[in-house]
Amino acid sequence: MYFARPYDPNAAHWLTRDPIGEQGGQNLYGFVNNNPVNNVDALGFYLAAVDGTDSEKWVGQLHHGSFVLNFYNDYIGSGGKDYENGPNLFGGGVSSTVNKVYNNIYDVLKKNPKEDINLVGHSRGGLIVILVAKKLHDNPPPCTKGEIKFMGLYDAVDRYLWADGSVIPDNVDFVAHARRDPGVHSRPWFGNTGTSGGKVYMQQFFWVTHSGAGGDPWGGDHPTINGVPTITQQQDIDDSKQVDEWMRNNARMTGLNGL
Amino acid sequence: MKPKSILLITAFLAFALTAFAAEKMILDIEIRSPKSVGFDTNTDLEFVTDKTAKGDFLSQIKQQDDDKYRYFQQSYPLSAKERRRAIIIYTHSSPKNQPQQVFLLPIPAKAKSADWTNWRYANYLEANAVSNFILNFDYMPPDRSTNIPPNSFELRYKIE
Repeated sequence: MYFARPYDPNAAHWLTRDPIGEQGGQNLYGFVNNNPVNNVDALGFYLAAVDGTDSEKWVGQLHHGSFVLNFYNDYIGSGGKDYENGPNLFGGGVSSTVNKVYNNIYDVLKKNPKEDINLVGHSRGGLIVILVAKKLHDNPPPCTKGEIKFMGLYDAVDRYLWADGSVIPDNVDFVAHARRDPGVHSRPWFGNTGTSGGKVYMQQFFWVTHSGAGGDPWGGDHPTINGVPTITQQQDIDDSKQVDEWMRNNARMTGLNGL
Repeated sequence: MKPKSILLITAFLAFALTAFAAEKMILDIEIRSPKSVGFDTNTDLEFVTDKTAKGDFLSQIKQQDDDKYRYFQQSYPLSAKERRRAIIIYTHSSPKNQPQQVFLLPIPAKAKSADWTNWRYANYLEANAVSNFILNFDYMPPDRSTNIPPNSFELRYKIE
């Protein structure tokens, strides 16, 4: 189902009139030539994607590319989309990226209050999109509730210095959080005790490193416990593919296109 | 107030205004394609820098026609922090990773006002162009071609 209006797959048409009226053609109950698989509706889907820390330095060297950037590239949304590189190693850029993404969404919703907003982020990029959702919750654009349709988190950091992203506000309809299994012991020193909240919260643990969860298997740390490796490089490569597939499945289930 | 202080304040204000103005430059772009060529509604127009990417569906962008061409116009704010910029056009297709049209924008980081450029074709075609451009890595095998087919998109831009 597309969120802008209900679609009856048996009758192969929409149950309500197209909100763009006759600009979309004579058939107000039609939908992009009644082919929602290969085409998209004229209204409704905007994506903001924020990558992990120092993404501009590491993303090119990996096995899968950045999952966030791949998601952005493949995403088909008629409402437009934005990709932001991650903050730097010391967290510089968290606040400015939150404000930039928020302002972009504010402009989108100001033009079209019914636009469905979707967010994805990895690591501190995940924290950033949670903070954007909080800001939209507390300061919604006019005539909106600042709602988020889908939030995809690739092993989000839940806190950093002043920023607490552990609780996702209830203006987020659906959260899918792909997390590294704590047993892997990957980067145990920084905040990743888990998030909660949203209207629906899906969480899945994977036997991957933190960077593997973002598309960069074996690119960050090589975790051990008492000197014994907890994961092999091949495991990290293989299981990180599952992270991407799981996230895309959840996104498709929520109605996102192209993934 | 001493003349020296007034001079210092004036210099500071001038500097601040210059810096502010630099952040407010706008890139106006226009692309066109022959009307004789089919128009795919699943085409993305991307403004890509080393920091960000911003994409819009062509079907959602302001469009004008004349006898020969279909024109699309879009504007983007420029940031002085951007070291490289490009316009990239690609169509969501199956199979994925079809060549994308890359128009490099030789605009200095601190952009200055400039009138419309001449129309020109893409610099090259490349699969995974958005990723490669943002990251400045050829992390996918280089697959670039400067053999631009006739009737491809053309671009011109101005800065204001």
